[in-house]
Amino acid sequence: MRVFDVRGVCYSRCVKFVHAADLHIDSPLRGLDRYEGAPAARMRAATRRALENLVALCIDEQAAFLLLAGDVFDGSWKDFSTGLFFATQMTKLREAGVPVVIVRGNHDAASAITKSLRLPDNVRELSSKKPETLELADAGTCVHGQSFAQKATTDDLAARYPDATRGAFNIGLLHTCLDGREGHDRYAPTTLDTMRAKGYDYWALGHVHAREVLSTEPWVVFPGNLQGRHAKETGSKGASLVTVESGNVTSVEHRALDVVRWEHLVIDATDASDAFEVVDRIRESLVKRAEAAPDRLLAARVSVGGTTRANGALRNDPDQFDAQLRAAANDALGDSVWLEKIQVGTRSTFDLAKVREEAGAVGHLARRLAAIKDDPKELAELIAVLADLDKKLPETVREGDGALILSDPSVIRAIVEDVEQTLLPRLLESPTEGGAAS
Amino acid sequence: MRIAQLQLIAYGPFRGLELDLSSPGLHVVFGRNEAGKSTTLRAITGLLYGIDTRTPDAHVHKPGELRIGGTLVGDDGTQVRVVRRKGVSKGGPNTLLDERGGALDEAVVQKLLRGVSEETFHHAFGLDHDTLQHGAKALLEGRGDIGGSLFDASVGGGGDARRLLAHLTDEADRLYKPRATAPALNTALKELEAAQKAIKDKQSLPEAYTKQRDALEEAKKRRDEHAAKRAELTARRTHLARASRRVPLERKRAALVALVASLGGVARHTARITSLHSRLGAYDQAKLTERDEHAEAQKLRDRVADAARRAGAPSGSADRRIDGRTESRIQRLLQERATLSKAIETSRAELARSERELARLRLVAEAPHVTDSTVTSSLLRSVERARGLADTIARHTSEKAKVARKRQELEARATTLGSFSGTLEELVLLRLPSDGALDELAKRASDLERVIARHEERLADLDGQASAVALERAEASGDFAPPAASDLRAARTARDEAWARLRDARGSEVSAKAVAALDSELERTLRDADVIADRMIVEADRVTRLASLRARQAMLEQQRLQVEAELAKVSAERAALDANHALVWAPAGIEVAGLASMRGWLQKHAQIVEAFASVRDLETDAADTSLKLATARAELATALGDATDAAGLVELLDRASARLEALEGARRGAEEAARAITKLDAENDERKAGLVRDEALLDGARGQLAELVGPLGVPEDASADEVTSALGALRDLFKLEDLRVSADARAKAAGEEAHAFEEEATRAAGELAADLAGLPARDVVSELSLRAGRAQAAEGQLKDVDAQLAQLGDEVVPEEIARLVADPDAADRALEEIDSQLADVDAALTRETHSIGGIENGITEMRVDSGAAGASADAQEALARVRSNVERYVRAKLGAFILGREIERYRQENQGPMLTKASQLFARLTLGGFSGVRAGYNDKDKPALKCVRDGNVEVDIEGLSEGTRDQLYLSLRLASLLRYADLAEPMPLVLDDVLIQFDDERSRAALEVIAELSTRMQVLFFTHHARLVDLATAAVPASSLTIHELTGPSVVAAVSAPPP
Repeated sequence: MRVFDVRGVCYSRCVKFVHAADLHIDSPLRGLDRYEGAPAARMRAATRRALENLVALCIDEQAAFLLLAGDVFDGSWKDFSTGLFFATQMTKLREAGVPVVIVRGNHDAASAITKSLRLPDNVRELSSKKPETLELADAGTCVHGQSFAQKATTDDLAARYPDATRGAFNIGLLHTCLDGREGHDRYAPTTLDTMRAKGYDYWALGHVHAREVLSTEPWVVFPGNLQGRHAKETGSKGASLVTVESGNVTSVEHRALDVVRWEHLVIDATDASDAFEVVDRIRESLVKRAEAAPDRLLAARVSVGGTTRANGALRNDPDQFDAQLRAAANDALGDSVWLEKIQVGTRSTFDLAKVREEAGAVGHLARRLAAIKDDPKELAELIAVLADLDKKLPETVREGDGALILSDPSVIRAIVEDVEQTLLPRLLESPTEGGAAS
Repeated sequence: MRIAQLQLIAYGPFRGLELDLSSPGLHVVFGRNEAGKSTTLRAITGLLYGIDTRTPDAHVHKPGELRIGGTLVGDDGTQVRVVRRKGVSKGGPNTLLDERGGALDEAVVQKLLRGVSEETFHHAFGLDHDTLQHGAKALLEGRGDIGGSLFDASVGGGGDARRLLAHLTDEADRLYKPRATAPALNTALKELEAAQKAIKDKQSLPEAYTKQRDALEEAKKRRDEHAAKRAELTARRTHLARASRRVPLERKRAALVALVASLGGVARHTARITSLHSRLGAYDQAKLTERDEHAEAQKLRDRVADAARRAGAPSGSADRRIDGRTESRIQRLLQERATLSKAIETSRAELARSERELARLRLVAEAPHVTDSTVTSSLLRSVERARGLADTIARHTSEKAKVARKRQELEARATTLGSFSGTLEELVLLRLPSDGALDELAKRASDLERVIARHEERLADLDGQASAVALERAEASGDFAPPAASDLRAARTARDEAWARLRDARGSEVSAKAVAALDSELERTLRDADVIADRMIVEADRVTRLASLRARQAMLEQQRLQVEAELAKVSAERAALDANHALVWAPAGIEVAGLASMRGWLQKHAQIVEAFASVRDLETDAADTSLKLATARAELATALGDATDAAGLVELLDRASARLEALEGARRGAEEAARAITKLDAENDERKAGLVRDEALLDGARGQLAELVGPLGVPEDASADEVTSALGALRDLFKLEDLRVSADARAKAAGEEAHAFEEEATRAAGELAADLAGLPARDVVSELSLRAGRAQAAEGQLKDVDAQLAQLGDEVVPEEIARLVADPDAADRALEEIDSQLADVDAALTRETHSIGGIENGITEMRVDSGAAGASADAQEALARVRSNVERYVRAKLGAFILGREIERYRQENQGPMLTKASQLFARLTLGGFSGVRAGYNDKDKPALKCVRDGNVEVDIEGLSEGTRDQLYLSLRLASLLRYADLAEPMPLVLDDVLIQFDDERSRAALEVIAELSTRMQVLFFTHHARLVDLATAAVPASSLTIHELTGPSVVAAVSAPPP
């Protein structure tokens, strides 16, 4: 560890710095199935545009330095153009006199790009061998940190960070899952107590893609990723702009830098009587979300639920419902919205339990459907029906968010539930209602 | 479960419609169009499952008021009476009530429904004509597929299960086929593969970049080496080239240096020699000048002597020379003397003119009438007073006219008043009765007149009554002919006898005709007896009435006399009142008219008196004004100086105003004159002071002039011209003298210059070129100049050579090169070789530069965007498409798989009993045209329905007529219901005009079948058609049939009782 003498730093002035993490540059937006009228071209390169926004923020705010808490690149991504783009952006910061401090995250450690990339001299990547302290004398700041040496780093890196340097503003830069976060690998785990014990003023964390302020004494912040990439990374994404006055953090502001905003709209169709009403509700909700994210594209997942009369209409012709909804979205918001997925999870208004008790054919079918869901043999039989297809599917279909594993009984059970909600209403709510209902 | 009673308490257009469905057997509900059949059908569902939130039946009653009542009977005989209200939402709070309106637990009805959902009730227990046709069509589409047909028949609702299965299968095929390429999922998989390949193809790997970067560095290194070699060659070439130029120059320099040395001192003193040579011309000129100026001086001496004579001065007397300053002073003094003389003359003339103007102004300022102010002020006062009356004059005239007009009006009113003739003043002074006295009299008169009128009315009334009584008496009087009592008795006897005869005849055997005659005889005698009795009663009444009329006539006459007496008395009182009235007016002495008109007269008089008083006031005011105006006029006349002047006030006022204006004009003139006098006095004082000053200055100027011109021999008072002429003569003299002196001087100077040049030339020859000593100055200088020219040219060439050498640098040419250059051919060969080497190096450099550019372009392209990210986005899109298509395919595929399997299972479990039953029903419904239906196989070898006719001939579904297909479907549906009834408690079966396409015979057969079905479950048969009611009556035993007729909302349900 290097020891710096940082006495004499002028604390009276106000210092601003920017803290970002998880850039995942050139990582594609996932789950977007192109359709007529979808803004496909504008969605491309969203992570690059977000990085440009980050650089502009640093320059506009005259940030003293930029902290990148890991995962600049996607681990499996090999295209060196991505690294060169990053280097170009860092050069812009160099021209503006903004130093950049980076620790490698699990993705960076696995990345082929980081190994070959030469960055301008304003960028300092902290050592992966042991904790390193970098003094930013102009800002009166010491940044302590350690890069991941390999992807699966499961040691508590923070525990070995040095104690705070006296007379300086101390920042811990760390890529960590903390004590475990859903959907994130357990890398460099640590605890708030460990971090507090170091006596730092600010912990700049990365790895967890959702923004989270874990503590304000000291400040422990996950800024979230720079650009949401799929339907689970919803809401405003960007970086934290931190203001330090007289050695104290006076504000930690989230600055939205994303160019595509992901939203998950959960629509209750309970009182809706037909598909048009459901479409109208979704359209209203979309417009509200779009208004909340001006100058951005909206990538929205729509989940329609509730026990509703519209169930049959939504399920009988999903193509038509999708088309109606997309047309309505285009009509309301033009090409600034992309409907990622339209999930229909509505239930019919009739009493399924009662139908299962009936003596006739429908009762018979309803009982069978209910039985299949809990019968491993039956589920296995259904899996066998799909085996041919499953063999033809590439491995990527079974990976990541939205993984579709046709050999998984729970997946088949969920599909049988869906089938139940489609078949029974189709038989019981047919348009040619006879007899007593005329 | 059965519905024993259905009550539309408040539903649709109905209020209180009641259907008693309690009896066993078939219930036919007949309702013509608009009678409410559909409403009743919806009421059944509403009662059992709740009223639809969007019911169309809330158009008469408000939604909250809708009520359907009913009595439901379970299999075990449990009977429940319930009322259904409409809830806010169907799945919302309980909407079931008991008879008293209290909430009832929904479970009461649920228990009776035995788990049958509303949808199943609709589909399985409801059948109308459309559904029947749909079902039959589905049979055809399914080509008699047994599983689908049986399943559909159980589900009801027109056969959707099989269609749904087909739809799901189609959808799955559309999405994916293992060995096809077109389906959506197959396409998406291909796109995904292509995009993943594109990523690999397009991505620039870090190793590639590193390799490129290394290659770039190598190339740059090579380029630098070539560049160094090139620099070295270029330097050598430069050295060689420079050396080849330097060596000849150095040789030339050495020759020039030798030449300069040979010229000795001349070369060093070229400037001196050049200077001498340049003065040769001047030297020649000086010689000439010396000679010419001597001659000129001699001529001037003669002219000076002549001029001295003319100026009266001895030649050379310089004491009389006047300098320029003195001359200009003399000129200025002459000018000043003339100016001052002229100014003094002008001032004197001005002064005389001012004095004359002053005398005139004093006359104006001191005019006598201007000074007397008393006349003016008294006139002014009078005028102001008169002007103050200007408005009064105008108003006075109009007021006088107005008063006169008012007096005339009053006089006219006095004349029209009547009853009086005299002046207004007399009219005012009349002694008149008071208003109070007249009012008293008037009131009394009015009272009396009212009494008189009342009495007269009473008299008229009495006269009217009397004439009416008289008329009545006349009517009632006449001949009396009352029938006698005996007549009555006789008639009654005749009657009694006729009755006795008739009675006897009835008892005996008399002919009918005779009895009829006796009947009419009895009628006549009865009538006669009645007529006599009636007449006796009438006459008795007449006597009584006449007596009463007479008494009334007498009473009326007496009342009349009494009223007349009272009238006379009151009329006398009224006459006395008029006399009294005349007395009251006597003192006024005027003609008296009626009481009412005199009251009016008195009022008008009072108004005239009041108006007259105001006229008199106005007249007094006018007289005052006239007096005031006369006084003002007299005052004004006096002020104008003629008290006797008779002109009017206005005219006098105009005259006085004119006089005042004239006086004011004169006063202003005098004031202006006084101001002008003051101004002129001041100006004259200034002029006089100026005059004195100018005279003093003139004296001064004359004195100075005398002093200056005295020495010139000009008298003191000489005129300016004389002085100027004397000055001119002196000037000419001294000018000539000056010219002579300068000519002498020039001649001397030129001589000295020529001598100096000659000495210098001699000295130069001695110092620079001894060989020239003794030669004339001119020759010496010419020779020296030639030699100096040669030395100078050599020096110039030397300087050029030095400059060229300096340009080539002061480097030391290496020995080897110097040697090489010494041989120009060898030098040329060496240069050629260097050029050839340079060409090779340049080519190598270009190659490397291109190579570097190429590598750098590659790196730049990498930097911009490789396209891999785009391919990656494409891959994600394709992946999303694959997933969504897989999901949809799996849903459709599994849906089809499960549904198909369950249809088959249902067939296996139910085929036997259901087909047996359906076969029997089909035979009956087709009146034996078909003997039944059984399982066979279709052309795809799938189990299919086969209809059997003519013993054992199988007919496919496609071979059936449309009607027969309907009957087959009905058979299957009914068989399915019977099967249901075998397994569970059935719901009431609701049939809605299912038979409208059946002919009468088949309808009758169907009705028989349905009636039999009603032994297993309640059957409600709704129809629009009276014909079907008739057919039902004919086909179904009365004990098993109840017919209900709906007659529309206006009539309370008329329920036909089953025939006895």
